[in-house]
Amino acid sequence: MGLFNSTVLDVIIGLIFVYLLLAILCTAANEWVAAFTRRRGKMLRRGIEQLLSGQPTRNGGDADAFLQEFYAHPLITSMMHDGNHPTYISPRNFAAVVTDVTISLGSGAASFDSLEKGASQLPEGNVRKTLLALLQRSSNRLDATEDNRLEVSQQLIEGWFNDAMDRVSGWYKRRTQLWTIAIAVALTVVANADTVQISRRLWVDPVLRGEVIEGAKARAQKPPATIAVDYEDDADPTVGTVTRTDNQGSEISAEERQSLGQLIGWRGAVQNNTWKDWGERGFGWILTVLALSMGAPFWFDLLNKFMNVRYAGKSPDEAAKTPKK
Amino acid sequence: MSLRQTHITILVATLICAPIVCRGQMVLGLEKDFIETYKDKATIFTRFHLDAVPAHADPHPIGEGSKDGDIHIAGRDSVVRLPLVAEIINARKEPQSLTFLKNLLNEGTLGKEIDLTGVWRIWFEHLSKKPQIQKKAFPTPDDSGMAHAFELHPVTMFDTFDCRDSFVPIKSNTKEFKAYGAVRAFIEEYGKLELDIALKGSQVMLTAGLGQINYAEFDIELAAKPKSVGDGFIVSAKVYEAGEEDHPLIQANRRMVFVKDTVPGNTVKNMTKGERLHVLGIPRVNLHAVSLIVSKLGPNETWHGSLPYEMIIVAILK
Repeated sequence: MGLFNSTVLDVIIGLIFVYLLLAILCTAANEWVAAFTRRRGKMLRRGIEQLLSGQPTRNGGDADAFLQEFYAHPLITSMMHDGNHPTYISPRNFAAVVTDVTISLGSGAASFDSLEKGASQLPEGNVRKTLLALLQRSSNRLDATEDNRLEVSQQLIEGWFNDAMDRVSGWYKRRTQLWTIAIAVALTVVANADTVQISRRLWVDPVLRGEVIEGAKARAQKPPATIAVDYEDDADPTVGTVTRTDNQGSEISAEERQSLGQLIGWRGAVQNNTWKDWGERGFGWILTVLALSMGAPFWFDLLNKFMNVRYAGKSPDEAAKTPKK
Repeated sequence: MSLRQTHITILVATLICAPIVCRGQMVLGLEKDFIETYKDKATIFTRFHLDAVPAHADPHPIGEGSKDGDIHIAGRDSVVRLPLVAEIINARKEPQSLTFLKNLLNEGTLGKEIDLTGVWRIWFEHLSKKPQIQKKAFPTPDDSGMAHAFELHPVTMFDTFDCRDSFVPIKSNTKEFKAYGAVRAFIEEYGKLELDIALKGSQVMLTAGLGQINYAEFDIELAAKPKSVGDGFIVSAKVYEAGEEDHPLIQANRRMVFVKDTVPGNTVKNMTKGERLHVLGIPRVNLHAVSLIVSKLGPNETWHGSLPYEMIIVAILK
């Protein structure tokens, strides 16, 4: 029997399909945990605190007074909902608020000079140091003129914020990954999603294998949520329309739940209670957790690629080549 | 093979196949303002710092595939601010430009700054392991074949030398360049490329895998009169295999980009809906489509889909 005969391919596809469904469940659980723990808002707050803390607004004053002024600004308070930190602050708004707070601590209307004056009047602190450095850099910019120096300065403040957001994104991804693994472990153990057992069931039961392949085929044909661009007006190819399509891929259908139910679970497993059985089960669990940590998009892409191999590789997006005359 | 051995084999095969089917990728970061400025333009004018040229300033030979008669010049510039390669097509038809480069090499004065205009082109053909982000510092180019995604290709003005006459079929006295056929290019390559688009502050991050095919030979049928965009023309057109009359190769019309005051540009500007051309073209990322997608993206959202592309028409073929 060759390595890539249809049974082997079907078992691989079935395994990928199970990983995809379980990964979708993990993603949904992770989103729920992120919302419940307000993870995004907390991470963003931590990033902003790193930038703006340690800066009093008067000598001998509170070390975090500047940060408090930032959060008291109407632009920021209007984004708060039930006292919860917003999950997103645009670079433009950040720069506008920092500029506003700095200028208001000095005096005068919004201008480069009043911003510079406000920054130099701040007591020693992180924000003072950074702002003065950015303002110096803006003066040295070749494209800076008297008329646009304030705007150039704000662009540099936006860049300062963007660099910090790179760090925040890194923290968020790492935290999300940890939660993904934790959820994957819990789901795998509770549902007994044992890779070894799943592949054994797919291998020995051709009827079950066939049902799972049909489910995988239907799933591969579901379009993921996307943003689609169309150029409907042939007369003007510089005008296009853009629409969001619904996400049909983030829910599990009843048929998919049924297939999953036949492949995972504790049914019959409690009879296998030797150390060897638990060792094999543990190995199978580890493989499943590793697989789930790759995420649903990875398994969706892989499913499509293997389905293309199984069904002789037509790209779904382009019309078929028409026969020559 | 026992059942256990089969299990292990299946799992190993799955894990091994995963990296094989996932090609290497590259990240390119562009400023949103830059995209908005150039998305519907054919060319970019910039001040270009010549850093690296091929040995003896020799163009590629003419044959097929990479033997396309181009000459590549790597450098830095004041507008794009990315590792940049300028490519003069049909370089042997531009003896003044070649002599200029040879003289620089002979005199050891590579590093000169010149004015340069060329068709901007983003194509992930020479992947870089490190992200290339606009306005972020990068090492001085020292190889005309360096990793890059941004090109000025084809060049239209090289210093004071007008290269717009190079927009003709690529041939020497003895050889003619053979481009890829339309099916190989559009169906088997361009149509299978994928792109991720994400927002990072004021920058748009494009992530894509290897796009291997440059020059394609195909027919187009105009869907309307070409629209002038100042430095060229853009027109929606159906794509056909060369010589095919009835069945378009791809369902959707594609944007075709023509440069003003070139043979293709002068040919198309007075054409109308339904008229056809047999052309040589190279693909570039469609920044207009990227701009539309970005306008709908949320702050932590990544769009993934088929790489949106348009075709730069570099020659009219007989």
